[in-house]
Amino acid sequence: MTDERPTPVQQLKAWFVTGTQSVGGGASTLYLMRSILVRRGWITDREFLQEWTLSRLSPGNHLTALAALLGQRIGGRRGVVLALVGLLIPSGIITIALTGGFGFIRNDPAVESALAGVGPVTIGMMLGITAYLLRSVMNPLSIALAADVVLFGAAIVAGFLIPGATIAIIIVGALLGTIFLGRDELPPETLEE
Amino acid sequence: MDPVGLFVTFLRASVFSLGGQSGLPLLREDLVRSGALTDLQIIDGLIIGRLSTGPGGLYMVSLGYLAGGWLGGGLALAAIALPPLVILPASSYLRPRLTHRRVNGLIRGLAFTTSGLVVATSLDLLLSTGGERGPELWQYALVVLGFAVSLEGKRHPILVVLVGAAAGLVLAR
Repeated sequence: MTDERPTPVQQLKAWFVTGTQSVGGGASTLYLMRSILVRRGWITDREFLQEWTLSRLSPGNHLTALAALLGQRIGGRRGVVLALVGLLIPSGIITIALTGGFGFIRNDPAVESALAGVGPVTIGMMLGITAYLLRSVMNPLSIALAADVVLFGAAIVAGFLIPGATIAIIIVGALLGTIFLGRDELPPETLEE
Repeated sequence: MDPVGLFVTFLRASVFSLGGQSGLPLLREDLVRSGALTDLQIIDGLIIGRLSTGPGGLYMVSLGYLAGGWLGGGLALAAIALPPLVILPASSYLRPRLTHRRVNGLIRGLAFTTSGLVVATSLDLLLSTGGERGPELWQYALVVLGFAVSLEGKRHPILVVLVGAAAGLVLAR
């Protein structure tokens, strides 16, 4: 890590690049954050791993929490503001513009046909990313893996059978995890991305 | 839905949106049941979310825009930004405890439960795409394709979406 703190403009630029160049969210955002901030020497890999693990305890989007934590580490309170502004506002505007543009073509018959294919492939991508992220917390093949799978399966079934009870299901899952699924060490694979 | 109601809806979903997508079950519950959006619009929002830039979870901004225009999109963005800030004051307490068994179990329990709920909602959304007949065989094949490609994580999402669009143009009647 370098001794010299990056200027606010440098910080904002780094977050802007992360927010506007990571398409598809999740892994690509994480990859860009890590490569930009570590490569510039603003944080070390170890610090990044620690903040990534910590961000998973946050309510809300983990990557937003990670940006806030890294922003704080790099630039204090101002760093937090710069991280959130640079990461979220440009990408939010892009998202709104895309949605608005989409509204103009949504009812075109050709677009409707295309969407009949885009919808299912997007749902598949969402399932794939969920599985991709799950791999980083899953136990290796063992009895412990069976417990992971049981909780995961129970959540799927509960989601289908009692769709109005999302918050209750999450609270029960968190409690069961706290009681039964804990491991003693920080798993090194938490940053496999 | 009025702006305050919309903000509360997105804030509630954002608080439980662990990992980016797990607010979806709650949002669908609130927005579709209240009549603010349809299942089709939820899928549209997910598509835009995959095509757009930034951290995962910005499909909420798309849904906010669909439900309440620019104000709705802005409120959804604010709702995404606020809950993660809780971690900042808590970080000095939590940082030395990251290796504790209970904390580890909490992270894992939340990850498995929210992922299971995302799977249930995704499958339910898929079943709603083909109307009363349900999805066709080729649409199931596209789900498998999207899953496999995302799991590998090496293909650009836009490429995968384009493949889906091309398949839809050829196969949808």
